[in-house]
Amino acid sequence: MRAAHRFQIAHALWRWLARRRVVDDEASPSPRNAGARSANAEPAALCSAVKAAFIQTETRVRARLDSAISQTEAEVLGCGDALATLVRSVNETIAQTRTDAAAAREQYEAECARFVEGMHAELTAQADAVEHMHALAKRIDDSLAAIRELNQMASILAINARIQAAHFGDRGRTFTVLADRMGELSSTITDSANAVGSTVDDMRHALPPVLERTASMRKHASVFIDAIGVATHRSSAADAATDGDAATEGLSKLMELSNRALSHLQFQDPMVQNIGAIPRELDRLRTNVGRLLDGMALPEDPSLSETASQPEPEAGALVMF
Amino acid sequence: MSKTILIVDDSGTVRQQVAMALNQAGFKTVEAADGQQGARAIDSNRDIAMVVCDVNMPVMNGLEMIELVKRKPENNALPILMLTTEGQPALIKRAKEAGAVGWMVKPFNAGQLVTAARHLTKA
Repeated sequence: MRAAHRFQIAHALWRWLARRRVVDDEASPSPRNAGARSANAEPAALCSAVKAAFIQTETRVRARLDSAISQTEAEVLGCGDALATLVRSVNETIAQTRTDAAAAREQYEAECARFVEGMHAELTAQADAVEHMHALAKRIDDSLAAIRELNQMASILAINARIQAAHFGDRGRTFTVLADRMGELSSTITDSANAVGSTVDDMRHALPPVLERTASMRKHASVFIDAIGVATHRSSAADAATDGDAATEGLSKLMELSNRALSHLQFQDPMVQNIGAIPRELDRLRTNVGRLLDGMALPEDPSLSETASQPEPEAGALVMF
Repeated sequence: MSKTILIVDDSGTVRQQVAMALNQAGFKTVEAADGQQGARAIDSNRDIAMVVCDVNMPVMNGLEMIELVKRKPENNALPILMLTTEGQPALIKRAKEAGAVGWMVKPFNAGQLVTAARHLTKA
């Protein structure tokens, strides 16, 4: 290749590098500058210059690349931090959700436990009432025996009074009144004692089914407790956020059992009516026995004559004054 | 604010039943087992708005309690409802004269008792 041609190529290359600000254009081997140099500059020196220019270019490119890589790394790290923060936030939300679900489950369990405790308390009160009825029946039996004996004495006294009345004739009118009163009281006491005895027999016959139903209700309460245990176990084992069906199923089962158990409570009302009549009859009996023991005063009591014709209110009646 | 009702009866079962009916209707209840305890409760607790009282009780019966309680002027307006197995007109008359406002025969009807309590405790 001719030297001039090689020089043209080198110059063109130099111009190209100058445009890219890699080399200083003032130092370009331009024809104008060629006057300051020898037209016969060695190609080796030119090649060295080009080579230096390439090295300079490479250095600058590497620097720019390093800078870009560093910046990109920083941006990636920043994104990583943001992502880590987001993950922490999501985990905290999940943990809070689990805590809320646990609290809701505890409240649900507490309410169920309260319900069962209330039912147990009611059953216990019923059992106490039944035992009380047993004791009452025993006391009534003892009282009836004593009252019947007393009644016999009253009958004897009435008979004696009639005998005395017959003996004294007109002067024995007081004995006649006494005999009549005692006869009436004796008859009333007999009726009351028989009514109480009959009611006690009815109560005795009614008690075994009461006891059976109480036992049945206790059994239902035990089933309740077991069902609560099952529901609790399920809700503990399952993820509360994703297994709401298990809790719902447990609740439905509990509601079904509660309705069935509560329906057994309806047997109480007739029983209460029958049992409530016993103390009424017993009080009436006690009053009549008191009259018998007080003797003469009662027939003179004006309040009795004023109110004797008024009917007594029935059981369950409310009289407002 | 819930009104307070005093239940005076020697039977624990009856006190429990009456308390249950009244508590479910929103009333507070206090209890006494005889007339003497009932009179003491009325003296010591000025929040008592009404009394439900049995007649036949040991120590002091219900009629004696009313007569004792109504001697004090501050108890003139206190409504006392008798709840008892008795039904004799003579006793009812005596209770009325002593200052009772009503007479209910056991076994009681819970709905009727609650209605009477609401009516008698209206301020």
